[in-house]
Amino acid sequence: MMVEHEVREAMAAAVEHVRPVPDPLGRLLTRRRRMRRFGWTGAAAAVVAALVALGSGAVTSTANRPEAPSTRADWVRQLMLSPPRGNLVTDEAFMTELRAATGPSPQVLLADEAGDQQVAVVSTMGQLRFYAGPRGGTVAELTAEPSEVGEPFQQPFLTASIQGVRIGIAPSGCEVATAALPSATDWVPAGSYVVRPAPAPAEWWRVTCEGEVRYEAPAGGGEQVGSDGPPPSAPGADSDATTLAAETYRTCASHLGDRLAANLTVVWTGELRGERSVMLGASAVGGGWWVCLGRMVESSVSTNPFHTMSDPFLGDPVTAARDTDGTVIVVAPKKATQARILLDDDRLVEGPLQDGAGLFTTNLAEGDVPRARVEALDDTGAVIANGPLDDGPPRRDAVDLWGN
Amino acid sequence: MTTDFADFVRLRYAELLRSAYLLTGSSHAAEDLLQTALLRAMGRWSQVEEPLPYVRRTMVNLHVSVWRRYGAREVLHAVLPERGVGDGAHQVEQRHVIVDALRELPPRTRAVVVLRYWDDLSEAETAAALNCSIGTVKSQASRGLARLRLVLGERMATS
Repeated sequence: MMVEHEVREAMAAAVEHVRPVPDPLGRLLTRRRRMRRFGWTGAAAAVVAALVALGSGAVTSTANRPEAPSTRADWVRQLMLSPPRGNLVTDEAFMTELRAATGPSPQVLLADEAGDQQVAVVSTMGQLRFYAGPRGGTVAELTAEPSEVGEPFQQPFLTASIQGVRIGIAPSGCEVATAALPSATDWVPAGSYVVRPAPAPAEWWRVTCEGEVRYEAPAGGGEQVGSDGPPPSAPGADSDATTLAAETYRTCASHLGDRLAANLTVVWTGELRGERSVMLGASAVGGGWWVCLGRMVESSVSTNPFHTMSDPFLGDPVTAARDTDGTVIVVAPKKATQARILLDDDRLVEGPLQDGAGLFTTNLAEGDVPRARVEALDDTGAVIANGPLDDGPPRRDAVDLWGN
Repeated sequence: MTTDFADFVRLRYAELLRSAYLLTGSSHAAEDLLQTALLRAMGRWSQVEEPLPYVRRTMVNLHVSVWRRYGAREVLHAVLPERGVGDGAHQVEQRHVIVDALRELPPRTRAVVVLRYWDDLSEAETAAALNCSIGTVKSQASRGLARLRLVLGERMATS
């Protein structure tokens, strides 16, 4: 019987070989510099510079706005120099009190009412503070609760969820549009910002500046809304399978909600590695499919989402979707009994399929992934289907074209 | 960047990398996870009162989040530290047994097991790191251990 100390010893043995490569700090700083190319550090500096300029009176109004932005940092600066948005900004007493309560050097980006709440977004020296309070309440009520403190400015299109109220604020001069699921292609203009009270609709947001689309993505980011519809059920499934499917559906719908173009339905049920499993799938906004694997591990449900460009409901050619931890889910024609993963002509892993599905583990380097393929074989050993191991990320996961 | 942060990275990187390895099951993913957590901490270093718990908490929460799977994947490697010097085939096999067994646990259960039995956090500290109740930590730890006992027992018997 293995006891706790044996687990500890096993872990110690497992990590014995894990040693940092030389100069971890240097690599970390290199990574940060690369991130700067995508703007956040530079953008944060621009915000601070803009606030200093505002504080010193060097910049006093949007009439003094710099020329059209050409870099991400410039776009962030333009957002910072934009006038406050929201229906509370015309209340001068409210705004004066809000600035006094949220200093030093507060820059109010949004003060608005939505549903039964009022929300405010204020930047103080490059750090964002989000406030939410009851609609019609005083500034003291709005700022009484500890505010959520956000990261330094990263995005020229500021998106956040403040106690269920979803907001998006674009630099002035840009236009925000929204498009409802399932197609997310019918764009409705919303002005230069958007505020959605809970329950927020499942939709995508787009920002166009000077005729160019700079941003397009699901509105919810990591805080998705669930898709409508009842949990799917597999024909002939027993109660455990139904419970597993329902739990997998609930988890996946809540995380993938506004990336799904259709309701999740059952692709496959059975056992993987001795665990009762279910695979749900739905077409993805922008192309491809999301596949959600739910496995009953002990009495918990483990859920993993995968994206693939191959239709999992066809199973032919083989659908393989890869998770970043090396796990690969394979869906092949039902008569396939084995699958193997190949890198060039080398066989990396081979294993059985049950009713055409299986789960594999690989340790491929990222650079090798595009060359890897999956083959499905029947019981005579003949290859009856094949396909790429990983056909890339979702085609429409995000448009982010604010410059370097 | 403050000197404190640089010191923290130098002193704690190896320790945190091992925790990240147990959480993720691969050196590649561990490095990515740890670097992401450190960069987050770096951005608010002056507000971080207890750096080690903060970075650990950030790592486990990043790991548990399914969205991490679709987040930034960039990671910089000078050398992939997958194989240690003098590793024999048997050691490699034993290592894979525990890593594979951990990988088969649900992410949250895996995080509880790593925090409790590798990082030696108390139940209360683990609950705080994962923002859950002590009861949840107890039940997840119990399930995780039971699962590890089962899987490790079977695999070690056949390896």
